[in-house]
Amino acid sequence: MPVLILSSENQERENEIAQAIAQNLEYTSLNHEFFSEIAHKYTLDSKKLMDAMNITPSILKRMPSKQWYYYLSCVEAGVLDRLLEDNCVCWGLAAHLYVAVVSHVLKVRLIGGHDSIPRSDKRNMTPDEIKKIIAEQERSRENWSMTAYNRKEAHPGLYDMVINLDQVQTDEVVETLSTTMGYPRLKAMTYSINNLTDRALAAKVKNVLLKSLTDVQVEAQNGTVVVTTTSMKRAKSKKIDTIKKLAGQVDGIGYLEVHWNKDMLTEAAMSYR
Amino acid sequence: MSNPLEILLLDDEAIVGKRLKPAIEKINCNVEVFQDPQLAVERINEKEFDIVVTDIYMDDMDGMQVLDIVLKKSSRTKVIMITGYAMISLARDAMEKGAFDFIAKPFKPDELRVVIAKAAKALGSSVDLNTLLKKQER
Repeated sequence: MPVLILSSENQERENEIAQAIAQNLEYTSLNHEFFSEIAHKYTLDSKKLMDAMNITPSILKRMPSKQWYYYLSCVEAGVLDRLLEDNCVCWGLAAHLYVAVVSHVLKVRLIGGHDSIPRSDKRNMTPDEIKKIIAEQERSRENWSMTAYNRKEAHPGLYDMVINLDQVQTDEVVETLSTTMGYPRLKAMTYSINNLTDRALAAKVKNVLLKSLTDVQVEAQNGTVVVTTTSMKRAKSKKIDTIKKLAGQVDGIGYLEVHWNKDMLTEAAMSYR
Repeated sequence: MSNPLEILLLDDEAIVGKRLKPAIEKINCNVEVFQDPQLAVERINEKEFDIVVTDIYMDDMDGMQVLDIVLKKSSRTKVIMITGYAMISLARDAMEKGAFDFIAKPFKPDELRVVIAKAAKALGSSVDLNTLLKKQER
């Protein structure tokens, strides 16, 4: 059965729409409330986890890069695991950035409806000031999504459908999306279930590795997991062995392959010392 | 035991039919294998199959056309699409046209057997995979 993923700058309307669709279709909801479950499952600081979903790594903000990527990997692994259960409306968890090429997942971007600034704050602002703040928020989100997943969150190519909330009423959006979810083209099939299962497996492996390592990319296909990593030549064997040992703890891996690349920059820097 | 399911398997690669036929026959199915889509369509017009398993990219006629022909002839027939060139748009189009399932190659025979068991269930028949496969092993 299909999965609906919503993404929007306007959290209030997104919430309203997502909840109404979930209720209409009797689907489960997967949203920001899931953060507390993730924090509990992976023993993370809830506040830091929420911060990681909004800010990019920064020493000043006490969010080092290694920790940031690990926190994101916890969200990704937790969400993908849950999406395997189907019949779900998911929003507010950045799933639109890491769930791609799954045919029973409908990804929708809601644009416009600029209420992202609380009404009480808006009263004292001119239209130009409001525009400026919205542009700044959009820049910040784009920076986050590019740093986290190398994808521009607002790019329409990332979605199956883009709906302008300035032009379409909330109840119309709910009706349109509820109907669309019933289309046969969004039915789960062996191909799409395998795709999602592979993504969930890759996310689990990445999560286990990022707990102690950096510079790892993970892909999975039909249960075969390929980890690509970078390190200095002298650390090659140790890093590959560690990856094999850690990834080996994850259930569901058919075959594991580690591809290693030389860290040219560090090697060059070291040779000048 | 229920009557064997009648299955037509169409793939222009001979090796696919050669490999899958015995694997499917193990679960109480009669399988007719075709490499030429035209001949397969002729046979589809002669006989109502329970399940048609078809490749998508073939020279003379593609699997999507076969899907149309099968469903026009018999709406109860379940069509399972298999392809080595799986893409999200193709998969969605196949489901929209009425395919029962869509599997990307390469796949294990077991994967196809599970889908056939699901199709059998949808047809009101039943394929007890575990029992049948255990019997074959004895």
